[in-house]
Amino acid sequence: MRRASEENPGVNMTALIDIVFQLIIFFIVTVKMEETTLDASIKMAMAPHGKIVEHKDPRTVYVNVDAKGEISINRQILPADLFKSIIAKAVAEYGAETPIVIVGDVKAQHKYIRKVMDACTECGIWKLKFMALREGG
Amino acid sequence: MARKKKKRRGPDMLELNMTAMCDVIFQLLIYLILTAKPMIVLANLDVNRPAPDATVTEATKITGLVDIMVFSDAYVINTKRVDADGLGKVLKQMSDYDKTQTVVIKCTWDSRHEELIKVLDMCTEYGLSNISVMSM
Repeated sequence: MRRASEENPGVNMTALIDIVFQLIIFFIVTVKMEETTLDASIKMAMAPHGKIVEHKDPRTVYVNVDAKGEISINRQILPADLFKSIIAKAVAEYGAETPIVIVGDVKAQHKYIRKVMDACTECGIWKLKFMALREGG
Repeated sequence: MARKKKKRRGPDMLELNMTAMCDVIFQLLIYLILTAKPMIVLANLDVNRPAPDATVTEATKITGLVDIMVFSDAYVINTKRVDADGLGKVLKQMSDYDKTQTVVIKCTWDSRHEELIKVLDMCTEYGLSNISVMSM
């Protein structure tokens, strides 16, 4: 009499688990840190003709402005004076060419965006970027 | 006895070795992941802020300037009230004439950010790259 295990040998899982772990390591290594800085609660406006973000400057500061007008960097909500001091520090460190990208919510009123722009201007930054979605939404 | 042996052989013949198949599937998966190009969904719209210049006085009139005002419900381009389609048409005409002219976008405090992005997108579409954003 044969035993059941001899008649139906199971799938060899060793190679499969090896490859699954390889994939997990691959995803962990290649995941972009920048994407974590984008706040999922902010719904960006559509700009189908906007320039594609090809070269990402590591100095770039992403400033999020939500619909309520709260300013945040890396999901950390900042009061206006602290935000200004952060920008001033960035300018002192990297110069007036520090790329500032404003990620504004669709419904955010301009008075909140203005606060960010004014703070940047006071710190000596004259060139700003607005982030939008080319497609999707 | 012979009949019994034949019945036992049946399930043994249907057995498949899955290991090689799994290996090939994962190879294909890795190939597709490595060769897939991520879809670029983000765009950047560059603007300038008006820099203070001590040599410029209020009396100085700057020519070749496109003045767009963004209100919460409408746009005004060079003192003419237009909707989004009308603004696009005017911007196209102006870009056909001269793409280097300065576009000054003035936003009211209660206008939504979406409206500003819409204007910036139109300017980018028609090749107007010298854009300044101001607040009213």
